[in-house]
Amino acid sequence: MFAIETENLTKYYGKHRGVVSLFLQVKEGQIFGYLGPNGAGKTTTIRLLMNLIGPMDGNAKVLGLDLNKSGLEARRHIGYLPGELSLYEDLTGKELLNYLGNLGRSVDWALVAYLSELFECDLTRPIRELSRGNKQKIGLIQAFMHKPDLLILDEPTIGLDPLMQHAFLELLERVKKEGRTVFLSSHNLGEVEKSCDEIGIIREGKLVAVESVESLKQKFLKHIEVEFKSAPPLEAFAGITNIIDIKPKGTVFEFVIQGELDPMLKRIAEFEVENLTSHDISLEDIFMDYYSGEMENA
Amino acid sequence: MLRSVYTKTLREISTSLLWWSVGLFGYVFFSCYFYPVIASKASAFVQLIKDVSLMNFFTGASGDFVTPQGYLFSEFFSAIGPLLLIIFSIGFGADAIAGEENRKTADLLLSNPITRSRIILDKFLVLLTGNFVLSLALWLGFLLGGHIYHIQIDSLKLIQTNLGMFLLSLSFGSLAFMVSAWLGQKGLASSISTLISVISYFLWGFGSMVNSLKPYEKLSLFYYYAGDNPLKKGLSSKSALILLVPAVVCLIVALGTYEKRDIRI
Ligand SMILES: Nc1ncnc2c1ncn2[C@@H]1O[C@H](COP(=O)(O)OP(=O)(O)O)[C@@H](O)[C@H]1O
Ligand SMILES: [Mg+2]
Repeated sequence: MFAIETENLTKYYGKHRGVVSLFLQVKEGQIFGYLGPNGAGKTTTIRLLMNLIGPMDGNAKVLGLDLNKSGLEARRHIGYLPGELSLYEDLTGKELLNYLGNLGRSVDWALVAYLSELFECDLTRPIRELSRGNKQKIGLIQAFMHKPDLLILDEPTIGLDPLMQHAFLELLERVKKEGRTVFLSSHNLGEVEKSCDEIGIIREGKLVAVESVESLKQKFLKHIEVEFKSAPPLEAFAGITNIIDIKPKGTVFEFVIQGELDPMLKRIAEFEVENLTSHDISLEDIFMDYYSGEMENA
Repeated sequence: MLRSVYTKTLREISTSLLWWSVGLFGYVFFSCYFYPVIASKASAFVQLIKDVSLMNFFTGASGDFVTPQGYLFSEFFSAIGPLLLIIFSIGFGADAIAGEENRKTADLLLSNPITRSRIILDKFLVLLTGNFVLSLALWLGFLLGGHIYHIQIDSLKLIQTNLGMFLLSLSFGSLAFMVSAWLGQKGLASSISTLISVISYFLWGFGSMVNSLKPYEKLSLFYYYAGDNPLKKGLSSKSALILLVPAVVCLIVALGTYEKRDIRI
């Protein structure tokens, strides 16, 4: 069964595009990364799934429940972290969780204790005194506190320092082990690559690809710069099929590689290497490299 | 205080509600205190202003500063009292639904398994409670002040007047509440309702002076609250009913429009 299933889901804000004809399927028990640059339509999709805004066309099912009819029942089993999180500043963290718990979710207070320890989060202080990162932690705690079957998290790691991002990944592992589903959005490929099973890529309101992280990695073009002591002949790299391109500049060669790195590394090791740098693949690179063909065709 | 949207919202406004109550109570109490002084000077003032209609305007159509009912009505019930209540009422009404959107807490609130109509009803109940508490503070002020300074007011008519004022300010608060729920815009909600209440007030105030405005007097809610001095004549059940209608209509429209609309971020 699918934890999230949308059919032709479409939303415009007046003339402005939100999302267009979205067919999205998120399998139960999966961590699904919803990846796209700013303005792509991630928040729009998520707010449609939360019944905060209504679609112009199409429909969505969450946990098997039709959002048109059973939105309330669905929300009972969803933990949601809003993209632009804002909390009741007059309350303390504990009071906030208490209040939200009184609005129909059954809170597991032992879990709250575990989470506040995991995130090193002080729930006794008024929220208005907290830093952005600490507010984000409270946002995460409230999303997880009732052990929801589905977590819908809009850019969850924004504002978290690296240590807390790690704690967050740990939490995702735990949720996954329990067979629960996570749908999280991000504009950072490196982040979803670490935590997700499957990635959906949204661009300009359209879902352009859904891939497992494994196969996506295979398709990424990696850029590797190698500085040799003395420039090797270009022919030395002939026959390695996953080298897409080589740009030699004196003794510095830039390799563009798709998929496996190993064959290329073995070959360059035959020469004396001074320096090697690899560039992180940005989301833009994916669009530039991998989807440019499709875009042009479209 | 965090058991429901109702109690949480009441908690949010509790401090301001307390100070408003204290202020209104004090104002009313001191109005009673100054009555003997004003009453003696007022006769002279009344003789000074020969034009009856102008006098009516100053005294809220009662033309009377001298009797306790006349004094209290013109001093408080005809203008400052309802206007203060309306300011509070519009202030809260406009904020009730749209405020959560302005402060961006609406997403968090509505992500809970709770219906939108529940939120409307809880918030509307706070509007009712706020207006009720302020009306109660006023009533207590008159009761105590009137008792201490020996002002004779019919207690039933005092309650009726307070009820009328409660319904009047509830109406304008409900109007703000409705716009707030419908459009999610706090500024728009308060400006529309303020504008309408000001027009309503002047329609009534000038209606008694300017003949050409006379036919439109009945479009003003103030007319039903204060058409004749309710401290003298009480509040007819017909007027009370008319004053209740806007609140009911606004609540129904708020329920209907909020149900499906997009929540702003
Ligand atoms: N309330 C709104 N009114 C008008 N346009 C909006 C509104 N919300 C979002 N948009 C537009 O919809 C598009 C998608 O936005 P959003 O879903 O927030 O993207 P993301 O979360 O991926 O950054 C953007 O072009 C944005 O400007
Ligand atoms: Mg977003």
